[in-house]
Amino acid sequence: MTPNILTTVFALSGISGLLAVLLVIAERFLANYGECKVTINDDKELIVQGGSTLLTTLGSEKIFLPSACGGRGTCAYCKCKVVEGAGPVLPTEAPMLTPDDVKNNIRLACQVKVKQDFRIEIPEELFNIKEFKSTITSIRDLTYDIKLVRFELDDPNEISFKPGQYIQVYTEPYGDVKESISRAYSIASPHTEKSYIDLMIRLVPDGICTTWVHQHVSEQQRVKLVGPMGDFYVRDGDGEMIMIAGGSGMAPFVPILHDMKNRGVKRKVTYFFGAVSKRDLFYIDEMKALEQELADFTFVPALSEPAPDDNWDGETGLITQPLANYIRERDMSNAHAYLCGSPGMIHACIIILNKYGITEDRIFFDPFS
Amino acid sequence: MKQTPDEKQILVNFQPGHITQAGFLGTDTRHLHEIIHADAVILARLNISTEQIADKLQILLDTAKAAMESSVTIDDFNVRSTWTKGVLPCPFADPGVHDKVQVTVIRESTGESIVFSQLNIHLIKAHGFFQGVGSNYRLEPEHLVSFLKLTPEVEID
Ligand SMILES: Cc1cc2nc3c(=O)[nH]c(=O)nc-3n(C[C@H](O)[C@H](O)[C@H](O)COP(=O)(O)OP(=O)(O)OC[C@H]3O[C@@H](n4cnc5c(N)ncnc54)[C@H](O)[C@@H]3O)c2cc1C
Ligand code: FES
Ligand SMILES: [Zn+2]
Repeated sequence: MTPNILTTVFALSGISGLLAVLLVIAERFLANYGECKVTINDDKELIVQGGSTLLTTLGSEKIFLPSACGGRGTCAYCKCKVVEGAGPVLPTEAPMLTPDDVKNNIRLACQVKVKQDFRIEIPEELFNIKEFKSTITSIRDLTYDIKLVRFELDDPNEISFKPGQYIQVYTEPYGDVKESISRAYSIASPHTEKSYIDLMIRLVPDGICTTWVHQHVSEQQRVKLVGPMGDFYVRDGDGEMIMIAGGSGMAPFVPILHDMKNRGVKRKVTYFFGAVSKRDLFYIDEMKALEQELADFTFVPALSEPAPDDNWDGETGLITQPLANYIRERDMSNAHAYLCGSPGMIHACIIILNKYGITEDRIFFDPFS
Repeated sequence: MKQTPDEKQILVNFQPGHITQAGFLGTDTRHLHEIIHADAVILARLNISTEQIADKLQILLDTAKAAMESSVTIDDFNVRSTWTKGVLPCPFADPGVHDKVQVTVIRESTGESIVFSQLNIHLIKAHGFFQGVGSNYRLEPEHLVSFLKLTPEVEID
């Protein structure tokens, strides 16, 4: 290479290097986007400081969009209609958007930045989601791996939710975990109790949130909660209700059944609860009491692998077996089914429900992925 | 080697508490690329592909999922899973999320066992990443190949 060419190469790399540095400095110090207006559903207007992502901007205004990847642009939960202001689709969001999304101005709220006025559309029910400061006041073992945790609400000190909905728990840093993360848990206390909520939290091996709750938290721990969320609540109808749960999937059925009791609902309800062995069963007395208190309620626990000393004389096998035996004998044309528990159980039961005439539009469960 | 801001962000994902409680690197101090390269060398010597491993793990995981939380035996492998609602993103920050399914597999003839999750399978298949030494979820390639009884695929001309 001649000295002349070398000089040119160095000069060019020098210039592009300088430009890159200048860009970073400009973004850091000069990019003051000032105040921007975010108009929501052509109705609500927010004046915000520009420069952050739409997800963060809305969060700081206490409007919470779903997120499962912590804003990394990989889960697509934060999809949101941006009518105006977001500019062209970014390379970081393109892989998560379908052609239909792009046509309909759907964007990833965690990737687009608010740098000018925005007009967005979001579902109205998101406005009912609030951030709560709470204090844990009791922690009780329900089984060897499920704890019932009570959170007294400090600020605001009351919650209103539909029986069946869930809430997000925010962890505090602990051990090597330096950041707060959030996880969803179904509310397990009656909705008439507005000053506290109970959650049933099952330990997941090596899980960030459940390890915190099971091994690092004690009473008086302050916890941030965000909710209520979700569409898992009882739909009107007079046909039979089939409820199916396993493990901590019991949680949403507690407020649902209490609500039915309080309202004197006469619908026939059959509740199938799957567990491996007797040590996984809990709330049996509560369910037996509800059998007396509700007009027409039957609780059917089933063990898939009862231990020899369980002395179990109830249903055995996977929960799909007693479920199939029960519904194949009956007219299910008006029945509704409600499911909560492990996604594996939900998948398997939906196949049975479909097979015996309960169509998808009459089957309800929280999304799990 | 200089890292771009994107690379730096990706490396953060592998640390404890960002995506998983203990991160993905264990006590391994090697760079991510070195970990992946060293394991690829082992697999090349054994003439086994990451796809073969991932596909076999997926069969075991799907079998366990179908049994819900009960144990079930397929060939010599006794499998049991827990599938929790919710998803995990990949630390390499590619699109998509992965179900929180964890499986324990016991080889009935030897009593040996391994534990892995759906995310492990993705990491192996898409990135050739078996995790750092010392990670609870590291699957040692050589051990895995013998545990899963994998043999080189015969090429048909
Ligand atoms: C709508 C909804 C309602 C819910 N309600 C409830 C409820 O009422 N009760 C309840 O208990 N749960 C509930 N959940 C589940 C809950 O939100 C959490 O997902 C669950 O508690 C696990 O959270 P975690 O932070 O402990 O685990 P996470 O840390 O998020 O994930 C643990 C998973 O990561 C895997 N893993 C860990 N490290 C690695 C690694 N290095 N490599 C590969 N894989 C690894 C593990 O195998 C395990 O499967 C609900 C979820 C949803 C979506
Ligand atoms: S929060 Fe996951 S993609 Fe936006
Ligand atoms: Zn990936």
